[in-house]
Amino acid sequence: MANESASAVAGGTVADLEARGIAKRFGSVVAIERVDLDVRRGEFVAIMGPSGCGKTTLLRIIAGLERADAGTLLLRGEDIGDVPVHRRSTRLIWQDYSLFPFLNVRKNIEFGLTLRRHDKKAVRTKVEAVAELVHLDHLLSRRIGQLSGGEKQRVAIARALVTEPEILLLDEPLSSLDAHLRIKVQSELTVLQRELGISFIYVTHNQSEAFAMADRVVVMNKGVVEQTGRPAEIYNRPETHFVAEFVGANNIFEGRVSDTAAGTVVVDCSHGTVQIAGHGNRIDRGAAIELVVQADKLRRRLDGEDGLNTIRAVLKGREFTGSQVIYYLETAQGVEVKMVLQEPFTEGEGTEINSELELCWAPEDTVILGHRDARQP
Amino acid sequence: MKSSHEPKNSDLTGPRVNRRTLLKGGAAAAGVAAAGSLTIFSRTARAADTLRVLCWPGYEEKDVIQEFEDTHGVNVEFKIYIGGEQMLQFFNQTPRGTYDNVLADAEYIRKLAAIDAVEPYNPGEVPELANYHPKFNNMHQVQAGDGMVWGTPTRFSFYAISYNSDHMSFEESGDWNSLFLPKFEGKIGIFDWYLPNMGNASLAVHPNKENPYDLTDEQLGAVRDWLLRLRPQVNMFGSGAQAIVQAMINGDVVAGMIGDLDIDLKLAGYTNMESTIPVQGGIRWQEVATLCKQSENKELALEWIKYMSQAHVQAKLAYTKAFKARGPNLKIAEHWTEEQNQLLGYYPDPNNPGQMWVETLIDRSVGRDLPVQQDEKVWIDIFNEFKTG
Amino acid sequence: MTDSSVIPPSNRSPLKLTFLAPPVGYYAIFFIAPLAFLVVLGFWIVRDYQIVAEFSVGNYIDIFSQFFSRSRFGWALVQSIYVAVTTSVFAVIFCYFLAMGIVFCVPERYQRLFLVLAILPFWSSYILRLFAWQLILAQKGVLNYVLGGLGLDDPLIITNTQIGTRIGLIHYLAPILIIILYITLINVNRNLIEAARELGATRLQAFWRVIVPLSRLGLTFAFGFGVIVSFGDVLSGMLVGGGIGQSWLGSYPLYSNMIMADYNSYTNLPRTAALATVMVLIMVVMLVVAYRMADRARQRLA
Repeated sequence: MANESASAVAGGTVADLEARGIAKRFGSVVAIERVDLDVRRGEFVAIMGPSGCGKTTLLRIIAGLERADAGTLLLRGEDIGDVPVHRRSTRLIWQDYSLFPFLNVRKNIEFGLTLRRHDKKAVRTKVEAVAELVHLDHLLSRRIGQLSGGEKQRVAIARALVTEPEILLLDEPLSSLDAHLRIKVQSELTVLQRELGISFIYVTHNQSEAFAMADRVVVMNKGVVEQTGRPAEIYNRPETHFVAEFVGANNIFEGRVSDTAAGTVVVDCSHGTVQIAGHGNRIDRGAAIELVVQADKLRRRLDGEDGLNTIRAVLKGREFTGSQVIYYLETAQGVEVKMVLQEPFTEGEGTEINSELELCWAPEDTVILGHRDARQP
Repeated sequence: MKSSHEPKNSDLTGPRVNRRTLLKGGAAAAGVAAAGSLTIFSRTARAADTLRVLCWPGYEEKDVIQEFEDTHGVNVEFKIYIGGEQMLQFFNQTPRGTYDNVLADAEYIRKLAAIDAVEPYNPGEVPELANYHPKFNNMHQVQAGDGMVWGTPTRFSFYAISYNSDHMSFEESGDWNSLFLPKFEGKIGIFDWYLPNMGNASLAVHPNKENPYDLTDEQLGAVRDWLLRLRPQVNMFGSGAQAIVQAMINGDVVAGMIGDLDIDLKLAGYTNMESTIPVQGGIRWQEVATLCKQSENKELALEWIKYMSQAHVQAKLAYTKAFKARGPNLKIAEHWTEEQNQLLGYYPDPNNPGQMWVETLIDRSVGRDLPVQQDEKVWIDIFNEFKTG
Repeated sequence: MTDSSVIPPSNRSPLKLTFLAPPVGYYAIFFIAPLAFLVVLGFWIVRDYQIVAEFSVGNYIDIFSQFFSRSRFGWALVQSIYVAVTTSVFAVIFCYFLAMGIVFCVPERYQRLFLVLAILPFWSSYILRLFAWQLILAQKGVLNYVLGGLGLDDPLIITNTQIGTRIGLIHYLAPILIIILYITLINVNRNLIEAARELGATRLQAFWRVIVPLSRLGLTFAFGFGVIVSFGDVLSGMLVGGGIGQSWLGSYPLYSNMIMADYNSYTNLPRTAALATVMVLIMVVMLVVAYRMADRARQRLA
């Protein structure tokens, strides 16, 4: 977690959660190989990764629904590894909300409060307060079956918050909402988190959700953490092949270092040489490395432009997404290249399919991946 | 139901259901009752050399019928029933003429006669009756008037006390009042049918009454009181022999008005099981072979009756795999082994020179009958009161 | 709503009628017709041992005039309902825990095997099973022999009581109830159990406050089924219950036993039919109650 010190994250400096060396396997299947995770009080952390990467297992271990095979788990400094699920002060928001269909909204929300000795009046007050917070006060006597997706989600959040958790764990809570609602709820969640000041650990496979809401993003793959950092860091400076592929629209080139003089690294790639500026790390000549160039950093080379990395590739297809256009190209050596532009080319500039274009990008926009993913041959 | 044993002319008593509605009634009853074999007789498909008999189990066993079939070169088909009411249902479900013979309990002859199912015949046709115990020649249940009879007895046994000799002494077993002994509280079993039990109770209250079923209302009231007094001693109303036999083996029941179940138990090695008829008297059941009025094969049907009256046939019939009983033809003893005679009482009675133990039991017992002075419902309701008391 | 014009054309397809005919025919032949005949028969009379199709309410007057006196059909009915309801309660509790054991404690690949083991008795004769119970539970039976060996001097009296009846019935009901409740429990959303645990519920609280409410439909169905089958059964009460089994209500026979005895001893099918009609009526009431309970349970989950 080299970049952690560099990130000026929100929240205080007190650790809410410290997970050290967490490992978990189910039979012969390794769910989590080894994971360290720190969450500071009031921080919004997103754990992102493809399905099967171990992110949900990690969340379940924090919640107490699974027991880690190894590692320690500290909640506000206290080891909770042996605390059973029903005594933990974390609360999980389920992907399917897991509301009790046989109870109405009010009974659902008060569920966690009525499990121990309780004062009915106090419960009522708390339920109504939290219902107001998530704008459910008018729906308290509704059946669960009568609620919309967004309302169900607010019930799930209210049911968790009413128990005053120290950390809120959210397992892909937006995945069953439709697109426009998702954007709305995203901002609501962010506002809510700031208001409450409690830490959120948010599991998702969706990078736009993670980047939009989180103070810090943890990218997981195959049971290990690939990279941790602020959204912009993850986006602009992926550290591993996996992150580069998983996040954003990146072009990855393989090459061998041919020169490292004068603060510029020169790399021989299949389509030509690439210059990389501003790379601090020492790199040996002759080393095999991977380069990442974000698709939106590429553009068409204009005549007479110098000092840029160039690449020639044949246009194979394009995709108009509304705000931008994605071009798919291929070099003579068979390497795929993606380019994202804010505006499409004007017609008649030799931009028909199968025409060859010359693209370019600045040396500063080239990122060297820290290491080749050992598990990806 | 008055005391008349004559068949009534039912045409005088209002509209009768035609055969079709009767058939429907029978079908519904069959649905309710279930049990019984699934033989379906077709009237048209019958061969001329086939005899059809509606009977209790035992008659159809090969040992019993083989000789008849061989002698006459015919085939006998049997429809087996369990219980008189089922017999009536089966009879009513089929067109008249389906059966040539009905083998019925003696008291059911009155019902068969009432529905015009059977035809009287001359007892002189059955020479073997000469070897019968006299009581079976004078059964009022089969008298059809003018010296004619409704049927010929073929098999019988007793419905009195069965007991476990570890718990009840021989002397105790000889008196119905022993059932009231405190040691038998909650140990008495009753066969779940009003007719034999109320006959026994009637004899217990009115010892050695000639017909215990011929009671005035007042006498019947005394029987009711006797039964209600007995009720706390009773812990079981057995629906069939099997349940009661097992209860006696298990020790749940040590004595009861359940007939001579001891025969099968003795054969199974339970030598502590006995049965007897108390001195006040007890009920006897008796099966009678009748001739169906609408039979198209009456000659052969009569031959079957004659056949069943023979001692060597009854020797087999009373000792079938289905169950053990006794035969009214006293010559039966000549066809049995010493062991069988011992088991079934066909040996000299030491207290009554010149007669067999079974004859003493026949003398002490009275044939089962229908209530004479009251409708059977009155008796059934009293039995229900006893049962639910 | 019976107006045929309301039905869309697709619902009038001949194919649909073809496939609807067998079930309708089945119910008509095996259910409605016999039932209708039973009811009609109860209003006929018997004269000279023959059924006469003459309308009369005499059978019902007779039955109800001795409902709580003489034949005491009413007490037998109360006994039957009492035994049926309590039997079903015990059977459902027993089978619910058994099914829960299979669903929650047995690894998934062995569940089918356990289920087959649990419903194995289904393939043996009911009557033989009842005789076996008589053998086991009798005063000198296997159970008391074992208890005697353990130093218990007074034998337990189970046969010829309604406790015996219930044991026979529970054994009879168990295979079906286990299947009903297994299906119920296997369909309980495990996430909801975890959600409750996660909200702070102990295992026991998760059971009472989530698993039980989610099983309500299955429990209601199993209970209703148990009551109706127990109420209609005659064999267990006859063989293990001894015909007049003792319960705290008293030593009354079951109503079904009274009907059987009436059929076997009285040449009066119409009265037997009237007795049976009373039983069928009560079963219909039970069905309606069970249906409404199930409907309410279903609505709660909607």
